[in-house]
Amino acid sequence: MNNNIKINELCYATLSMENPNSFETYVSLGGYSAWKKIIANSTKPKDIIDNIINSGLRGRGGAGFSTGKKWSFINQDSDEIKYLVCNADESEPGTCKDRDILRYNPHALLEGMLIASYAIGAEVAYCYLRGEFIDDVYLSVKKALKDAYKNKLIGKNILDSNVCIEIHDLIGAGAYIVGEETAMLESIEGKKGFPRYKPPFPAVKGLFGCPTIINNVETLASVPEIINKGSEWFNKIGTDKSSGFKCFSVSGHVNKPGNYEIPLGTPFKDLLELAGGVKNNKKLKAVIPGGSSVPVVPGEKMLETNMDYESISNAGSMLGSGAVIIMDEDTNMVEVIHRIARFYYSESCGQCTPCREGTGWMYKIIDKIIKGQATIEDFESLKSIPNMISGSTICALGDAAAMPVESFIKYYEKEFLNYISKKEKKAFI
Amino acid sequence: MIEKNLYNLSNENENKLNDWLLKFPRGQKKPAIIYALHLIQKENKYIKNEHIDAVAKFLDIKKIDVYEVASFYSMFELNKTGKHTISVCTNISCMLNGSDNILSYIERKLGIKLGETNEKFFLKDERECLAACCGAPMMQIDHKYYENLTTEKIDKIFNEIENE
Amino acid sequence: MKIKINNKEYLFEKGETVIQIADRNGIHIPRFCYHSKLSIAANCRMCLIEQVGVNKPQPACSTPAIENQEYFTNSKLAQDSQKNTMEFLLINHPLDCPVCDQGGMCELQDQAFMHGRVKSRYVDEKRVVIDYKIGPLIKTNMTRCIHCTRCVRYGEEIAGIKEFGAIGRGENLEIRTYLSSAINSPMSGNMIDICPVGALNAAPSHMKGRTWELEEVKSISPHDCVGSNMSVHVLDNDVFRVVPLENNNINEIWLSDRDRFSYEAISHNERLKKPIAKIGGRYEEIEWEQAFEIIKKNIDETKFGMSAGFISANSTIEEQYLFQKWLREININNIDHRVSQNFFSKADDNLFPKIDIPIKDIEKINSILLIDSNVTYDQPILSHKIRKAYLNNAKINTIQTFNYKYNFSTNESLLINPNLLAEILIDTIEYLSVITINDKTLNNFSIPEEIKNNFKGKGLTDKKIKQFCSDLLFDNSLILLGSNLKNHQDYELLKILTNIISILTKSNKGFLGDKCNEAGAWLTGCLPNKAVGLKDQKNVGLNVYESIKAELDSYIIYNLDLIDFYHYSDLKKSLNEANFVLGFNSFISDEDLNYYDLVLPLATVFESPGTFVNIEGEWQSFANSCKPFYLSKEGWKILTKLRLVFEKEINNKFEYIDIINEVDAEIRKNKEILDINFENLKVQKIESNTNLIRSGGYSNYFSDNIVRRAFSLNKVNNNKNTVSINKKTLEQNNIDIEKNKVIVKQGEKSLLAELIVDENVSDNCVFIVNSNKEHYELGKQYQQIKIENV
Ligand SMILES: Cc1cc2nc3c(=O)[nH]c(=O)nc-3n(C[C@H](O)[C@H](O)[C@H](O)COP(=O)(O)O)c2cc1C
Ligand code: SF4
Ligand code: FES
Repeated sequence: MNNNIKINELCYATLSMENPNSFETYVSLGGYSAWKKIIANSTKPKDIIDNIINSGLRGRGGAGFSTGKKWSFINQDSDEIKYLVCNADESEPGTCKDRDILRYNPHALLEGMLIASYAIGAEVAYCYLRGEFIDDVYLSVKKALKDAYKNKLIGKNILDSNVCIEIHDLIGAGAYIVGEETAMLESIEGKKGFPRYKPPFPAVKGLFGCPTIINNVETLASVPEIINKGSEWFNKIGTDKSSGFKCFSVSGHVNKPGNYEIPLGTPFKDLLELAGGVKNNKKLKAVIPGGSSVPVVPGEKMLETNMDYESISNAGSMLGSGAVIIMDEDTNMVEVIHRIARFYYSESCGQCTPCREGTGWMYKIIDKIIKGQATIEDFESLKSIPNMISGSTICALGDAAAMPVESFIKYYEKEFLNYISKKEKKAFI
Repeated sequence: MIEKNLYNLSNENENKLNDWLLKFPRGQKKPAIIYALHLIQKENKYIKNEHIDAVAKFLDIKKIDVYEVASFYSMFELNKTGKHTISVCTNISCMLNGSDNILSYIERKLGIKLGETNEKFFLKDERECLAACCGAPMMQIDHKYYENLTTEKIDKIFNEIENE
Repeated sequence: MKIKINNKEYLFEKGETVIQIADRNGIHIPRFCYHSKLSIAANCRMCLIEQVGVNKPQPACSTPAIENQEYFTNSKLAQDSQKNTMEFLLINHPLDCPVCDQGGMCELQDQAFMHGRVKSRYVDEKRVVIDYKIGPLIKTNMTRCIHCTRCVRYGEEIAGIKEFGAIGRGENLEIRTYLSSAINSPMSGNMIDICPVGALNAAPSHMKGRTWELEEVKSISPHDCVGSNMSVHVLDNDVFRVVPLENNNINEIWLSDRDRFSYEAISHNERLKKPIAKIGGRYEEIEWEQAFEIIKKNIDETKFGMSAGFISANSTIEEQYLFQKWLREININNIDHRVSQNFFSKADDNLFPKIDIPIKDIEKINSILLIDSNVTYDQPILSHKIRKAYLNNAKINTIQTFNYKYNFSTNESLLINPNLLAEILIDTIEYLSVITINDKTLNNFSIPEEIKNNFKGKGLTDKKIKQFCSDLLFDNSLILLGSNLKNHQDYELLKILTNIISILTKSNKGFLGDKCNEAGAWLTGCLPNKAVGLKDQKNVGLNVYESIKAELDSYIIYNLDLIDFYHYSDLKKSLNEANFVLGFNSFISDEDLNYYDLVLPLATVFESPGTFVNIEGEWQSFANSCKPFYLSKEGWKILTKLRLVFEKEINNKFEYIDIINEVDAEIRKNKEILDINFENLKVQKIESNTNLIRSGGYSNYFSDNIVRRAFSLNKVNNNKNTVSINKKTLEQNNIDIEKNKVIVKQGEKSLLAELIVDENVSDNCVFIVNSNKEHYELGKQYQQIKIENV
């Protein structure tokens, strides 16, 4: 193993400390100095945005879009009210990286939100947590907010300047789709989480009709260090196009499941080793490298791949949210896709036709396959559905539901056919 | 005759909601629906029609708007539940780590099937991943996380609840 | 700017979507969720087309056109995408086209035919959705719903009352009302039209015929002062259904439920088949010839000045014209149509019922003051226009005697006792007189002394009055006087006061009517003091109230039920005493028949051609949709025949076109504009009146003899025997609010009714609907009333 991997230096920097989530711990690591510097120097918002663009930070919520560029879409000259929204709805199966930031390093997030709000000219920011966090993670965030307010880092006339930024905590109530950014805006407005069609994009017309930027927890929590240490520092870590650190939730058949923050571009092998290797010394069969909505990658291929956006894309999948799900040689792939299909079927918001009807159709066929009731025609239908859904829905949930099915069939068609031939045989007898 | 409301929000909850509304632009009432339903569900375990009426009345919005929200989000229970709600994650990472056995162990232990309820427990049909994949298998009881479950651990947890 | 669709160039304006450009140029793009009058949802994904250079198909309904961009609506990508969507939609859609009302006019059926795969590959069970009742007008079959949410958006955006919602999520998403409650909007029927499949059907015509067998006739709504255009669908001489006909100046593509479903009355069992006469104390059906003889004999016997004729303001202008012509030819000058008016002072001689601006311009108004108008239920289409103005940021203020439900929000509203209405308007004038004192453009207008004598200094301090005035002083404002106020004893004064306010604030004004041809009745001179074309009548007759009070020898009542008269009890007394009472009506109730000597069966508006003049002065003619019921006859034919019977020198071959020509020559071409005349104005000293007063015209479907017999509409009505009073009034009158019954006394009559404590009622006011049969005898609204504990 490569012993030089830097781990847990950014978003998880407090993890190894006592009282990781306290204000004092964060400040002892130089926390809030970026924010104080900005306030003291009245840094130009444009400079911050340029800084973030140069750092190469890309959205950690899934799409991997340049964070600085996204911020620059806000029209700074308009006097409309602007909003920042932090997406803490972490719901992608396999993903639990944001929860640890929220629990153990909430102040990094708050500082990041402050800087982002300042950069885009927002005076109100919302942190939207998934509903299931209500009695656990939520308390940590609320306490952090209280401490930050107490220290005059948030609120009216921050540190006696004329900068005013309010951060409000919000809580959802159980809906994966609300993680989609426009569905989140609907949910904040008190409606069902139906994604909005775009255009207009949130940066033009978002929350309450005003320009809005939505960022993931990890994205925002990375910001303060970049301001502190400079964009160069961040840009140098990782690969050419994938800069900086990224948190990976490694789960499934591994000995030490957990969240690991490592430089992008680290070989998958090393990450697997960090996580203690495959459980029970079994062989690696397959990996879902970026949360349940990305295509599965066979083990052998994965072992040759590095953990950055481009390499994983070359391996036919996506980095997504950084949820790495490890499956050993004994894994029944039809059962896995059955679970994934069930998830999208019950999480589709039901708004647009291909997703509402298509997720159900796929799940029902896979369910029939597992129960040994499917025919070869059913399987042929199943093969055609992902393509019918992809690209034709309002939001990306349709694609998210389609891609895994497509890839599981691509690599493990035999396992499906096994189930079906059993049935055909039965019918024969 | 004066028509009486079947359910009224408590003063405490009304105050909480009024505070909550301060987070939003003036005049925006709907953003408090989700929080209002959380408060009510916490008190009453599940949400009845009269609760929806009360929220609509307090926020001065249409009942159908509240109902849409209540029926959309999976945490809101519109049917009778037990005192404690148990959500066992059976999504991929948990499944890979044996959550199906955990679930059937709990079913046997409580004598109820998934989606069923008895006086004390409601075994929620949880299809969502609860964002604790590295602690798989896991469950939530009344939104408290219990990770790395084993049958022994489950026995202990239920013992504690029984003895509350 | 230019784009290319299917290799051809088209011009467009910034902000237009591709589907708009395609629609304008006749390029077919399939769609379900898109509707030009609704917001964009982009959820059905049926309109997917190819945008050159983009690898994903784009929804045409929500894709803004980009300069020089190229699109294909029929390329492989577009066609495949549309086919896919169609296959998804049909997965859970039942294959019951043969028994579906929508069959033959179903957008889904049409598009499945054009874009669907021939054979369905989905073999599993289809979703079944439980149906529930949402009232008597709409029959649901939600298994057929394709979740386009047009109906939900219609409710939110057009009707202004969100009743349908999308409940649940995913495949189980269901369109329904909260607790399956009934739909309340007075414009709910439009959802039937906009639902692209057979999920929402018209309950009255449900399963009664197939669409391809229908004949369509253009018609004009006979119920409110708007004159909505409608298309009557006829099946074998029966009206099968009524749907809106697009007219962007009036009803756009909408229709109120009242207009849509009133046709059901045509076959009501009170319909007259033949003339019916009282012969030897018994009622018998007789032949037309015999009927004419009876009329001739009785009218000839009646002394000069001892007859009166009343005609409905819902009759066509042709009938009104011939009615007054016939009566005046035989020397009957006591003619009136204002049967629902309570009190007459001759002061408003010239206050013709109209609105100063075209209906289509209401949406551009900046501020509106509604005076006691239940516009959302009484004139739903006008309410829709006001709602549009409201959505354009107009300020809507109200002065009202009951907290009516509107489909727009009001800025400031004042709930007052009906007795105080005139007072509050005078206060308003007082305030305006002060703030407009330096306005030179008002130099040649002076507020009448009679009004000034009532100034009390109160108007100068009231905050709400100040608000109303400052909003009315905006450019382009409007004051509307509600139609219920006809029953008010101060109606004429209220019209005058409204007029003065409109002069002082340079606002437009409108006096709303609850009848479809009130303007026609004025123009044709169906008034005691006005002749055809609004000329002054030489032999001034008695008005309706005077005629009733005078206990004349004979009465002629045209197209009216007795309950249409404000002075219902007095009328019945006079009819009882009269020698000869002649009725023209399509219907007769057993109760009403007792007061008549002869009733002639009149064709309904669906069975006769005619013309209505709406509130903006628009003349709209229509043909008959079907033939008259049994032996009933068109009004114009009966009246023409009667003129012949009385040997008037008219051409024996008198045709319908001759009346049109006459009416055109005498009225239409000869427009007389009337100016308000304050000379006759007499205003008594107004004293604050603290007596309990009754209010309550509030009942949706009671406005005329057709509507009140429309079967399904009447099931919507809340005609319970209830009395609503607010808490303060109850306490002042020592009524026990815990009890559920109360006694009310009006004149000599009393009634036991259920008590409802309702803060929507103003102080000192008792709210009782007019439309409950048990309330008929009690009298009408705006009279003194008493309440007592049981
Ligand atoms: C169905 C769906 C679910 C999503 N869920 C999440 C989520 O749970 N958390 C998250 O941060 N982003 C989620 N996203 C991505 C967001 O839409 C959005 O891209 C992200 O919040 C942007 O932040 P970033 O630029 O910082 O990544 C989801 C997207 C889709 C389509
Ligand atoms: S009922 Fe009709 S209009 Fe409403 S969502 Fe369903 S298909 Fe669309
Ligand atoms: S018509 Fe465009 S998505 Fe429905």
